[in-house]
Amino acid sequence: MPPDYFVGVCASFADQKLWRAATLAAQDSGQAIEAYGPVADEATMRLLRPHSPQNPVRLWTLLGGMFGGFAAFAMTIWMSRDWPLVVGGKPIVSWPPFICICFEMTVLFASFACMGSFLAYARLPQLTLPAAYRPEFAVDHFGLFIACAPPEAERWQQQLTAEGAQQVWRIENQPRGRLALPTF
Amino acid sequence: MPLRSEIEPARFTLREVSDEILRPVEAPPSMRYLLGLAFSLLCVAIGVAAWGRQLYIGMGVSGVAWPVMWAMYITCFVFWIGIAHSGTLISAILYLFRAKFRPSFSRASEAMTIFAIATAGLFPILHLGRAWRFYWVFPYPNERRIWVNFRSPLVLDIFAISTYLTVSLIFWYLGMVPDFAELRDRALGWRRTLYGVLSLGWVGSLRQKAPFLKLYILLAGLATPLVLSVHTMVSWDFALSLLPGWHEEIFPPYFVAGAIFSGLAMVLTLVIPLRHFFHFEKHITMDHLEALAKLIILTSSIVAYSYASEYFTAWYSGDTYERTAYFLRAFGHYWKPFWLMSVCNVLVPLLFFFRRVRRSLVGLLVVSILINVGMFLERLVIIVTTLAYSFDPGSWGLWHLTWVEAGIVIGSFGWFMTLFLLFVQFAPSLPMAEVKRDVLEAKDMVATLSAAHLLSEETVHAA
Repeated sequence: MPPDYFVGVCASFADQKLWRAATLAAQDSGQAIEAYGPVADEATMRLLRPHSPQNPVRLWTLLGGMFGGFAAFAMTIWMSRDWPLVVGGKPIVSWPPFICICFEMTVLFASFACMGSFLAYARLPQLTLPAAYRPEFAVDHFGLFIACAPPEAERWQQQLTAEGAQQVWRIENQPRGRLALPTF
Repeated sequence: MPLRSEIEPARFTLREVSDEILRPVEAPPSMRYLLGLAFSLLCVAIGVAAWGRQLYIGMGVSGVAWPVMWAMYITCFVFWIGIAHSGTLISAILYLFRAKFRPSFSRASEAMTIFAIATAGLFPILHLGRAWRFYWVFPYPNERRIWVNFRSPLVLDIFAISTYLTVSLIFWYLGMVPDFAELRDRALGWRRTLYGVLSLGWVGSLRQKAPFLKLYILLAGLATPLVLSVHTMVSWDFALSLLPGWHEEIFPPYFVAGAIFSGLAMVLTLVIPLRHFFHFEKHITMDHLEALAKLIILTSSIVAYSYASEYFTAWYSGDTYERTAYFLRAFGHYWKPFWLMSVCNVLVPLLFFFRRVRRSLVGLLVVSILINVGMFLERLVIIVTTLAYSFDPGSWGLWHLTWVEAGIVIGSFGWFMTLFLLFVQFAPSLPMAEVKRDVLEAKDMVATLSAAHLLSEETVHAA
């Protein structure tokens, strides 16, 4: 096994609490980590990522919504003036009904921006899965990957085992799959 | 003390949850399923044949004729849009309120929303004599150099419904991505490729989950007012006209409440067979179904109040045309659908005040089907009676159902059922990731409560 390919160690936990504690300990040591699990719950996220970088999804959603709303106003006003059809004696630019279009377009573009920013921030779609990922992490196990240099691997393997990991193994960047290194 | 439903999931292991929810997707379809699918496709064929005849001969073969120019097709349109409403509403609002019974219904009700909009969207097109020109309602640059009339509620409808479909689709699909990832890991052959593409490379890492949770709550927040706006705009199709029986301020909340009411009933109609045939009894419990029945009591009472309010307003206005319209609605040619509607929507849901009915599968199913019938008739009564009896008795005229219309209605139910049956065969009907989250939370709760000696020995043992 060429040593150049070594990227870190990965541990599999059956117990969520042990996994949380090990993840916190690894985070506190300043090591680059990635954690996997079958459940996406807010309590765990708050615990494990209390100082996560500003999540851009909210901002992009707001910007998308604002763009949609202004674009809808511009569209309705311009089109009404370009084809000045008088209906029921109402003004050509009848803004009250136009608000409905604006609302819908605001929500539509906010949703598009929300989805787009989520995909960009989560780096999806991915054609290959990280080498540290195992199918059991989607079912009933919790994974913790720690990026480290080969000399540190032994120490991390021992620590993770002591922290209650069921299984700990070394991760090589196999040519068949690309390891998406975590960057926090 | 926690509710029983909160600690009940502690009985399962995470693997059991996966195995049980994915069993229907991974197993080959049963004979009952194939028969159901064949029957749905037969209904679709009937609808296609009826529409083909209408296209070939012309709109005359349908019951649409002056003065009732909106009849069965617009009834179906409003009915299916109403059905569509509860799906996202249940899913989004219950998510925002962190309701524990949400996972039992959310996936199926979101699917119901998508398929109901896909069905409703057909009807304005079917109603067009020249269906191939449906795109004229969109504001697109054209050689005639004209634009659509943005003051018309019909154009507002187009924007509202297409936005609702798109946002619901995003909400539904992205919510399924973690479950598709699990299916990808378990599948073989072409299914592995299919779920591999659908899962987008999801691995459940912290990097992916952090924006996912943000995305989900934002989409839930965006979808909730959208739900209210869509049926409000559908109600303006009627309320912005000047016809007696339609020109009413109460229409938007009345339509929204009716839509939620019918949608909840349809969720029950779909979920009870789903629970029975796919053996989801452990995850869709009687407590969950009972919670839905209680919501139906609430929405039914709002609908009943709206009916009473309509009649009171007509009487109190002193307007002859308004009073006549409402009198003829109850005692005119269409008195049968009116009274059947009143019984189904006002009296039948009262049965849910009895706990025995709320906790009986047969009772829940029968009441939910009757509510669906009642809500279909409500739309028919609102649309047809007003057009049949407008201001001048000289312009009154009746509408009669034709077989072409009936065929298209059957086809729409077949289309909806076909889509739903395909969904339950190819996608997890319950949100696995959320069910697992509830399982872990329940285990935590049981551990905490038993450590404090707040749970009985039997409960801890069962969990």
